[in-house]
Amino acid sequence: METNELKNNIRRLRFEKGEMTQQRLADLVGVTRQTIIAIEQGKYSPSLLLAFQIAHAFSAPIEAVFQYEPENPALPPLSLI
Amino acid sequence: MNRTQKEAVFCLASGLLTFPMFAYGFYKLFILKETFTGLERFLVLTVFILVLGTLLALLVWTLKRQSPREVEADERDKLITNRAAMAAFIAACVTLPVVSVIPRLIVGDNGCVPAWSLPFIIFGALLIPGTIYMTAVLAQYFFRRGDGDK
Repeated sequence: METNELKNNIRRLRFEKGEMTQQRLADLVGVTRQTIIAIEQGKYSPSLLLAFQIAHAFSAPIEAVFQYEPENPALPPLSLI
Repeated sequence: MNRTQKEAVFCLASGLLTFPMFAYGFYKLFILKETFTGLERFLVLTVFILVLGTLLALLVWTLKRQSPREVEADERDKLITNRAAMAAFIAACVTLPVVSVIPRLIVGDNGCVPAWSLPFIIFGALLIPGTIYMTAVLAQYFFRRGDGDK
């Protein structure tokens, strides 16, 4: 159940990477399995460094792993104001 | 459960086990205005030794890695423990001054309490911020939907 604005495809990417386990991903990026679970479920938004490390573990660009979906899309980006 | 959670559960259980003894001691000392003698004194000493033994066991457990690959604590654990430490610090700032004036309120300006009651009171008072710390750690793991490093 994702509740924040940062969505992720970690679960899908893990399965595309030969059904990589959460523990294996946790070992690759140096966190606990509980943290990977929390990130997957959208309960925890990782730091920028950890987000890049996770993307690196999947050999994917960060935007393929994490997507920002603003709660209020009606607000225009700063460049358009 | 990761190591931080296990430590929190372990400490919370230890604290809650010893809390009734401290409450009883406080009741006996300040409400009944009696002191411990004979078997009771032995029991109080045993509780102190159990608390110290628990802390020692925790120290050994903390220092010992469960496996060579085990991560000590990641950024989420540190964020959670930092918030819990702040809550415990605030609780200690409130608890210790309050507890320090309780004996005066109960026994009066010229009253007296046994000398051993001071460490007893301090240990008992430290149980409150300790319990708040452990509860805050566990609550954040279960309920917190937090952000990463700001």
